[in-house]
Amino acid sequence: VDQEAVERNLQPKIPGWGFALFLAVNAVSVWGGVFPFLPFEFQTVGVTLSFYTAQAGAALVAYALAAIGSFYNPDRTARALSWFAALPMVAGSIALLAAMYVGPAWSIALVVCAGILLGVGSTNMMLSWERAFAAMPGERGDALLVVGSGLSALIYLTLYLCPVAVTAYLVPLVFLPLCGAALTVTTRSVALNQSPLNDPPRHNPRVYRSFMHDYWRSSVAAGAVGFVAGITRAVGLADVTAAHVVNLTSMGGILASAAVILFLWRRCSFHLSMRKAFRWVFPALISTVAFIPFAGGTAYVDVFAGVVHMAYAFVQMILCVQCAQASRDRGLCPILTYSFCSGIMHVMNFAGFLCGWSTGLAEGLDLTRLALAALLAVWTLGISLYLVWMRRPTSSRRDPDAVQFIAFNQGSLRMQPQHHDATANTVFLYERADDDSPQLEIPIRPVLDRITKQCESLRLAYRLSDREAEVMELIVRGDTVARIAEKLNVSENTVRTHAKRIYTKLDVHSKQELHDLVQRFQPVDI
Amino acid sequence: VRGWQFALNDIGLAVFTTLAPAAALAYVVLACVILLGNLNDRERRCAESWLIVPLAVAAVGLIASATHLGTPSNALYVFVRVGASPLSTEVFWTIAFLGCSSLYWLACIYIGNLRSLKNLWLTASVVLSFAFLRSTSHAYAFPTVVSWNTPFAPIELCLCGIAAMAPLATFVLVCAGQGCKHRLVRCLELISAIAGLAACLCMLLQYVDLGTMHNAYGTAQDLVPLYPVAVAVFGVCCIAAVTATHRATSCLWQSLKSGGQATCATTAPEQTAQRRLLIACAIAYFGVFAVRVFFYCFHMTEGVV
Repeated sequence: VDQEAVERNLQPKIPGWGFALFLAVNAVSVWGGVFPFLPFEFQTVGVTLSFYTAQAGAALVAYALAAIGSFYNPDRTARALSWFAALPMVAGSIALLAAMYVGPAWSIALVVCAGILLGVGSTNMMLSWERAFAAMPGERGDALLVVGSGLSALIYLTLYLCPVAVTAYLVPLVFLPLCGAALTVTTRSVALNQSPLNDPPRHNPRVYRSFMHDYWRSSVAAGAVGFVAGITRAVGLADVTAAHVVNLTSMGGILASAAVILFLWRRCSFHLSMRKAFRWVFPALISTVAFIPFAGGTAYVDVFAGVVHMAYAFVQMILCVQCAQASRDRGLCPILTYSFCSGIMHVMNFAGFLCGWSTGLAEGLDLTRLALAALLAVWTLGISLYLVWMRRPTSSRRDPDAVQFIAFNQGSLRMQPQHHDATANTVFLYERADDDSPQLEIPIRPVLDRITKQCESLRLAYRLSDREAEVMELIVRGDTVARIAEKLNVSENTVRTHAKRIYTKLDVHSKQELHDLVQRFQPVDI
Repeated sequence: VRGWQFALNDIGLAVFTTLAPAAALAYVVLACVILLGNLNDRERRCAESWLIVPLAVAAVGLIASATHLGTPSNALYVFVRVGASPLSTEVFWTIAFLGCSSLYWLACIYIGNLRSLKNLWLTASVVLSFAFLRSTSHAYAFPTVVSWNTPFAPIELCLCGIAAMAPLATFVLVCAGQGCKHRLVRCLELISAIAGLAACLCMLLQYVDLGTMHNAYGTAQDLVPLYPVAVAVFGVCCIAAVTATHRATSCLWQSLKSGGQATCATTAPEQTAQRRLLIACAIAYFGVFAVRVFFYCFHMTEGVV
């Protein structure tokens, strides 16, 4: 394995910087567009509420339309998205600026227009980036998503160095055109029309049903965090300074989580399951929410909002990587996969916002607003946990929706002569070069026999993903493409694509060569 | 102390007048290479993509100069007095130059090989860059500020820009795969060196002239007692920057002569040259910034003369 090539995946280059700029401008969907940089006196409750409702509603409609469009014609939908990638966001940001100069009567109308345009635009851009990253070979797309997310926090913090008078103008006039240009350059350099990512989903409904069955729980887990974030957003609506605190903490969270993931990724292989992560943070989350009514004052709510948005930013980043990996592993249309997962998450976030806002309208109850908001959040968290763990996904893999990160140094092997019968062909025992490096939990496929162990050895040596290892093992066992597709619940095109990638990674050109290579590997204990 | 207070108030403008003129001139140099250099399509695409560097440097200067605007709702009022106010005129031409050139850079990504249209557009941006330089250099011609309203102010600003131009222009040329244009690079170095010396002379004359302007507190010269030191620092920085540029390009050409070839994809010798040129840019800009800060120190209005 070429270690330098693996390390090069981390270089952001144009796609990484472009994506980072987009995320920074979008402020991780917390307060979209140029809103954080407008004067405090402009950000009244009415303006903020109108903007946020219009933006979130438009984003949900855009996700739904993108999902429907890509189900019937993914190619045309993707082209429609990329043609107008940055334009709605530019128009929305300008409309928001114009709202400052007109009277109150027109101001709300322009703010609503801005919300709709920014909601549609940010969805548009996000889907276009997701599609580009999913189409990139191997880990490049995942690395760019993580690196770009981390860089977005740095760019966002840099925006605060700009004079406040011009930042709002820089967004539509400089940053968004740059985002659009970066997206154009990126999409030109990636084979977007490759099969199976571009195959119409309606031709393989079974594959998509399987995907939805496996992934809706992790989306609900992400959505539960989004729901609590939405409630805190609504409760803090009138507190303009809280917006800056929340924005900064969420960007700090994304920077920290990207740094931690990259640190771990360089050192060890690991899987990240949103469902498991939700189970781990659930006790702390629900306890903190339950404490809200007793904390008193807004300081606790502001800090809590910051922490929750930090977690929400992390969840959004992982969701992007998860969907990109799912598209590659299962041969799915990235627009549909991301629309589905992100749609669930955004629906719950928006529902949280509406619930939080409606707590302010509730009269005649023996509960304070904070107590009512906390009660709603606790109920949603409990129900989400129930849904997430109600039934285990039926899949050959233990965590079919887990995100896989293969250690950068995996495959840097040393060869040792194997104590084997002398008549055999050249046989080596491959071992990890740094046996001391920590290993997080790695799901193990059912161990069948010697071939499984040999394939596991090969997987470690050549940095194959779990799905690639599965396909390789089935090829070695002599299964046909159709049979593999049936076993793994994917399309035949997906199996062929995986086979091509496996052959390229292993530098073999036929089934016989693959078989010979596997035979040269000594089984490992798994 | 009063002089430093003026300078600190206008530190954003000092950054702007340090960065933007040299960046605009570097942009002109690369634009001229694109227009007149007889480049093939690939070379031209590469050169066009690097136009973003001088534009970004100029844009950073412009953003820094906006610190005094207050809130976004005040920003557009700066255009109300274009033509009447030198500062409004300066902002207008700066936005016009940066807008036209940035749109050209963006258009290069989207439109194909429409050479005649692109040449026309690029020429327009070059013309606008000179309009920008003229308006910036005359932005301090306030009849009420006697210490700025002298012929020295615009000449000094232009000469400082030219003095800092060579390292940045050469850096951009090397990045764009045009670093092997020996004559052009040497010409730029010579022009910058001469402009640096001329700027030193101009600033010393200006210092003498400041001694003739006085009010109840003293002369304008008293506001900037260390101005000659700043001029000396500027002179040393100019010489160092030009020398560093010369050495960087000499080493690069030496490496290219022994088997290498200038490309848009950066090779190891080009990367080394780029690093050295960046240091040269930093030195040149430091020198210019030193004298620009002193320029804002000797702010003396007519009312107190």
